[in-house]
Amino acid sequence: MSHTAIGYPSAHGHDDEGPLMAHGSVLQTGISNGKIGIWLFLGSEVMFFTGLIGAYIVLRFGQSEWPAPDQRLNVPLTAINTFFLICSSVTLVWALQSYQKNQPAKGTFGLLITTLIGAMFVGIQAYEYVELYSHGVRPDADLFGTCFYTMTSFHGFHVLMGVVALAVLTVMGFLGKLGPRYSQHASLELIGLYWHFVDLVWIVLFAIVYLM
Amino acid sequence: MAAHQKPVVNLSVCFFLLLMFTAAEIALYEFWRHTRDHWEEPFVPKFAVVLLIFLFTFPKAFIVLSYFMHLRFEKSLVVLVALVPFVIVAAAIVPILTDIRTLADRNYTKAVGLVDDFKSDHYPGKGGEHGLHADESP
Repeated sequence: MSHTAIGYPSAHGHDDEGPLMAHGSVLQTGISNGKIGIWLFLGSEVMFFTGLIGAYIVLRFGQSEWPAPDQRLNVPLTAINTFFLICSSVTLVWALQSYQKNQPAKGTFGLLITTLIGAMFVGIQAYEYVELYSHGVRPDADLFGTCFYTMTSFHGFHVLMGVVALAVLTVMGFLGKLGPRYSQHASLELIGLYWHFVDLVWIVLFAIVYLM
Repeated sequence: MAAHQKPVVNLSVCFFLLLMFTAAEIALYEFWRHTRDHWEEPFVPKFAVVLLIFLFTFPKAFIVLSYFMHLRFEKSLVVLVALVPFVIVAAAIVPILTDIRTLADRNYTKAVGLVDDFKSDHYPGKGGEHGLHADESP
């Protein structure tokens, strides 16, 4: 049986070594197991965060009174944090593209910047929590606090995990383990999907929690 | 072969658009907040501002999903795997939205109120300052 009918799966720079083969067998979907796996994982994450957001909407609009976010939260500071997260997504794409173009030094630099920006986001969020806590905005204070901390802390935890993964990738980059071949940067592509998803969630959370 | 060509994502354009939409969101909210605090009434009702903000949020989400996550260039199976959860969750959340009316006559914005309501709902006619212990429950 010929495998040529399966064709090339996607246009992601798998020039020399496509993800068609896994453990010596051809993938019938034409999509790598890793990519299918990460998208299934992200699908479960979509349901997780949408569940939280749905609960928030029900609680938020079920209340006759709700504190104005700007009266309790530091919106300008979080706007800056949002800017950082958007920048990190851009630098991550730039890093991946650099590896695909066989420019590993640029790629590793992009990864390092992304990791640092991600760490900065977590740091600013931790600072925000300390500030809010000292001003009485606590998780047990009222429903606003409960919702705020639940949603932002779960997201912050995801960012933290992303930073750890990016830090590992950065070390791999410095060790020369990332390169232009698909197998050499597949992990970066998959973790990149996770990171962009975290960015996507924040875009929605920022609008809902801080501006609504 | 066209299928082998790498997708070209213009990072600068994506970054600029994301930045502009975010700035527009914040500017809109800040202007609304300013009019709320300094004018007799805000220039538009709150729900209108929320709608306008989401008009800026959705394009941002679309850019990230389509270009940064490359969904625009993926095979239909990946697109299906990525989008089906949104549909499932939307279908699951709609029935829950009816709870808004259930909650409408209660105020949980104070932690004390939450405890009191909980006690009165679950243990009518009982419960003291510290609530009921497990062995006292009906």
